[in-house]
Parts: sequence; structure tokens; C-alpha cells
Amino acid sequence: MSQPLIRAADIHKKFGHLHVLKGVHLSVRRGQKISLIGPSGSGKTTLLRCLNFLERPSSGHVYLDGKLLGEKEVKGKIVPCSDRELARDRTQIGMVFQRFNLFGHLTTIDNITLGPTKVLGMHKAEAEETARLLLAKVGLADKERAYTDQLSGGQQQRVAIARALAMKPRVMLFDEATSALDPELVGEVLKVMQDLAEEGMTMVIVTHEMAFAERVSDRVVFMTDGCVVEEGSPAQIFHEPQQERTAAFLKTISDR
Amino acid sequence: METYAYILRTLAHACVWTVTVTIAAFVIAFVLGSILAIITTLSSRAVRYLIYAYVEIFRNTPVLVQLFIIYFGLGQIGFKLSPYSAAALGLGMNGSATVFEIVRSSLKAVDRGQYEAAAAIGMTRIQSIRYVIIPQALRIALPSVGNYAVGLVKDTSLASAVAVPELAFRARNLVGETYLSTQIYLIVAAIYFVLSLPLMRLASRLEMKLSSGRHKNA
Amino acid sequence: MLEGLLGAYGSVLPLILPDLLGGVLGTLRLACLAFALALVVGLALALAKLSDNRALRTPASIYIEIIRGTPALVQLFLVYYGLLSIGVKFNAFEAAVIGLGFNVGAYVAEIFRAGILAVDVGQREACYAIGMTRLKAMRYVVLPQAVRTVLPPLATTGISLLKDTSIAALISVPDLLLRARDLTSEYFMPLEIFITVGIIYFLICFPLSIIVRAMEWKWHPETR
Repeated sequence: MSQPLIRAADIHKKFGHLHVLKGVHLSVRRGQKISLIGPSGSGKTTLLRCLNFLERPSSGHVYLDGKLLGEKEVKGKIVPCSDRELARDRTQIGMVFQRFNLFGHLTTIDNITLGPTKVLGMHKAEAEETARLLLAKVGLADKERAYTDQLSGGQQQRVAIARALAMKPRVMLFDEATSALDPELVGEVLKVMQDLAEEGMTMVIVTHEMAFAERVSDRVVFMTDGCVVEEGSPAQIFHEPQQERTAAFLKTISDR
Repeated sequence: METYAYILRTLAHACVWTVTVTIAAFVIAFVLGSILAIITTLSSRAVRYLIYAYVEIFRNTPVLVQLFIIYFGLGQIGFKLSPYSAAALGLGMNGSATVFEIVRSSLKAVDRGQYEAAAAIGMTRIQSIRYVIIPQALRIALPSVGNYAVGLVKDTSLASAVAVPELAFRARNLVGETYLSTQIYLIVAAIYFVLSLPLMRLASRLEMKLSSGRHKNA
Repeated sequence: MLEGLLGAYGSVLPLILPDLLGGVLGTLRLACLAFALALVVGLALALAKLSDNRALRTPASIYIEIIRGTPALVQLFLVYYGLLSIGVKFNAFEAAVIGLGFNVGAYVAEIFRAGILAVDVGQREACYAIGMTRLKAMRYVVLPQAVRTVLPPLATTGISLLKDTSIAALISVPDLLLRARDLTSEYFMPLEIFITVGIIYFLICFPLSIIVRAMEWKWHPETR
């Protein structure tokens, strides 16, 4: 079978003395949607950020389509690769942040065209055409010339998704995309994510929205304390968890 | 009445000098200060400490002393600068230390998430700094830079000490000629006030426009 | 030995150092007196600007605007030369103290004002509720708390004032810079002499600014 699109192998991550990831493996195949769930501090966000090397693992490696990400082999040794090489690989990975991180000095459409024009070298007109299509897709066609402070949180996050999609990534990473949103705005963002999933995008989603995770994922990975405790299909994890800790966690969620 | 006409004519010429020195010094200060601030984000410890030393030296010594060193001191070892060049250079270098601090704290004020978002769409560090960080940092810096410019107009009066024929210098000459000290100094003070008025207005408008959130990010 | 290190200047330095240090004393005297005046003027202006009484507020605001919009040097000239024609004669030192004091006072006023306003409105209301007059509230509750906010910027202003006393040399006040200027016409070594002066100022101002920064880091960690 084809190799995984993204693979994290034996990832350890330490922040000072804090051992946040303790030997984690993750494998994502093309078209798969994987949800990472777990209590705060479990390391799921850190793991996600290792997938596009925003966090550099203390040990272990990440592979994008079989090739080392963020590192390269030189004379038999593995060394960090250059800023340029990493940046190039990152164009294939899209990321959506919890706090949106839209570029405040640019309009909505400029936020979306910045990457394609300055990184991919597209012509502005072409980039804007694509950007308009993406804006329509996320339901914000009329907000083209707005600045970030004129948009609600849900709108900003949808722009952020469009911005990531404009780079035509092969996989999309979502870092608690709805956690910073007011409850009534969560739905509009989840809808965009669901549409994306149905179109076949490969996605890795860190989330607390269990119902959404169950609906959209092919596989669910439960983490706690820097380790993967259990993984399986949504049905398995949410309804027949094998591990006690999984069950305990799910119970605290449903009791809320 | 004739005297006053003469006075105002002379001061009008002097105004041109004041404005010229201000602009020259501002350009030097802004360009040098910004470049130094950006370099500190990109380079090694040694380079950074060198720049910090430069900044501390200019911040902890009086402008006038710096002007004297550049005009009289350099003249002594053969680098004789014109009063105008010495004044522009001195005020400019002094200002670069101020602008350095402004731009550096503006760079720090840009949210960490912006760096990450730029990296996530595949920008190299240099691209991130160029297209995402600097534009936002400069917007944040603008009001303080405006304030600096207002102060600079007044500081050009020190250029009189190295014989630049600007307002303060000419004022002293005119007083020596006409003995109308109170009147002349009041007129000169008024001229400075009028010169700095548009800058002050611009600076406070910028401050209000920017605090209404043009530069806010999520 | 010094000659080996500094060339001809090495033999000159020991001769001029006593003179320069005398100048330092002049500078310090000027700075301290001017700063004290600035604090008094500043506090008065701040309270005036904060008062309910328009007759106090407006002149204070106008004064501050004008002072901040004109160069200190011109203000010095006005006090020293300008007041002569209406019969008020100050010697150079007095003129410098007054000129710098009233100049810096306008900036100090804004610092005090910000510091006072930063004290929670609720504090003042609590004072009024127990029957304190505005003045009493200011004295026992507001000002003591404003002090912490106000100290670092005041200290920074003081250090700036110390540097700015150098402009008094331009009206012949016997400070460090004037002494240096006189010495350059004696010894014709402006580069070395002015650099020495720069070093002296640096040795005084730099430690002070480090102390102020330490104050700020300790009391306002968010500015780090």
C-alpha cells in the first residue's frame, strides 16, 4: 500500500525538564481524517506542531511523503535542514491556529493571497481569483476588503482556513480551531471543516468537540501525559474504549 | 517696523535651515535605527551586544557633547565636516538610538502567532520578517516615531552651537544686532511652535487611528 | 605612563581633570536644583490640570503645550537675555535653574497626571465615602499609590535633565561642558577632551539608567 502522507516516529519533546511527548508514533494516510483528543497537557497540540516542525522534536523524526521533514541526511548523519528547505516543505502542510493569527495589517483577500504570491510566486490576479473562490467556499465572499478587527471570531477563523487552503496543501492541521470561539460561532467553522473532510482532504484535528470528531474522523487517537493511550475508529474509541483512562476521560467530557 | 521686516526675513531663511537639518537628521535616525533594530533580531550575540553598546553610548551622553565631538573633534583629526553635515550626522546618530528602542519594542509587540502563521504558509524567516512582521511593527512604532520627530525639531536648536545658521543661531545674531532680545526670542519660540504643530497633530492622529485597531491581530 | 597609553593627551589629562571635575560639580548642582524646581512645578501643574476649576485647568494646559512645543534652549535664552529688557536680571546659573526647572516641570506634570489617574477611581470614591475632602484623599491615599507608578519615569526624566544641563554651557553657565570648551581653546585637543567629557557623563548616567531599568523590571514585570 502507499506510504503514509505524514508520519511521526518515536517523537520525544522536552521543554526544559518537562517531558511533554514520550515516544509518540502517528501515521496519517492520504485522505484520512485523524482526531487527536485528550486532556490539556496531554501533548496533543505539541504533537500537532511537530508535524509541521513548528516544534522541533527533541528526538524522533517526522516524514512527509517518505522524506524527512525539517532534517536531512548528510554523510550518513541526520542534521537540521535549512530554513529554506523547511519553508518549502511547509507549503504542503496547512495549519489553522487556535487564535487564528490572521495578518492584522492586511485585508481579508490580501491575507489569503500573501502566501501564493510571495511564496509560490503566483501572479496577483491569479491569486486573487483563487482567493475569491476560497472566500465563497467558506461563506465570506462579501468580506473581501475587510480588516481583521471588522470580523467576528468565527469569520476570522474561516478566513484563516481559506488562507491555509490557498497554498493547496496536501494535509491540513487544525490546532483546537474552535476553542477560542464563542459557542454560537463554533458551528460555522465546524461546517467548513466538515465540508473539507467530505471533499477528501487529509486532516489532523486536535479538538475538544467530541461529537464533531466522531462524525468526521476515520481514526481517533487518545493521548494523555505525552503518550498515545489508545487509538481506533470513532465507534471503538467513543463507545467501546479498551483502556480505563480513555473511558475516564470520555466520562468527564460527557458529564460537563 | 523696518527692523521687524528684516528680522522676519532673516528668520524665514533660518527656518529653511531648521527644516533641512530636521529632515536630514530624521532620515538618518529612522533608517539607521530601524536597520539596527532589525539586525538585532537576526544576528549573533556579539553583534547584538555591539549594537547595544552603540545605543547605550548615545543614550547616556548629551546630544551637545556628541555634536561637539563630531564637529570639533573629527575636525581635529582631519575629518572636517560642514556645520550642517556635523549637525545632521550628530542628531541623526543620536536619534538612531531612540528609533532603535522604539522599533525594537514594536517588533516585540508583534504577536508571536504572526511568526507562526507566516512560517505555516511556508515563508522563510526573512520573508516572514519582511512581509508580516515589519509592516505591523512599523504601524505600532509610528506614533512614537512621530513624537520623536516633534522632539527633533526642537533639538535642531542645538545645531546653533556648531554654527548652523538655523533659527536659534540667527536669533542670537539678531539680538546682538538689534538688542530686541525679548521680542526676538518670543518670535522664534512661536516659530518653533508653529513648525512642530503639524507634526504634533499628525502624531496624535496616528496614535488614535492605530489604537482603534488597524494593527490588531487575533 | 599615561602618555604611553594616550600620547600627548596623557600628559594633558591630569592637568585638566581637576577643572573638569569642578565642572561636574557645577553640572550636578544645576541638575539637582533644576530637578527640585521641576518636581514642584510639575506637581502644581498636574493638580491644576486635574482640578474641576477651569481657571486652573486651562492656563495649566496652555503652559504645558507651549513649553513642550518650543526648544529648551530658546526658553533659556528668554529667561537669561529676554527678561533683561523688562528689568529682571538673573545670573547665568539662576537663569539655567529657572529655565530648565520650568521646562522639565511641564514634562513632569504629565507624568504626575498619568500616575494619579492610574490610581483606581474606586480608591478615591472610597475616600469620599468616609468623608475625606479631595485634598485629604489625594494626600493620604492617591499620591502614596501614585508614587510607585511615577518613580521610574521621573527618574528617567532626571537622568535626561542631567544630560540637558549641558545646554546651559551655551549661556556660559560654569558646568562640565563649558569647562571643557574653555579647555579646548587652551589645549587644542577637542577630540580627546570632548570624548573625556562624554565618558564622564556616561559614567554618571549609565549606572543611573541601569538602576531605573531594574526598578521597572521589579515593579512592572510586564514591560520587560
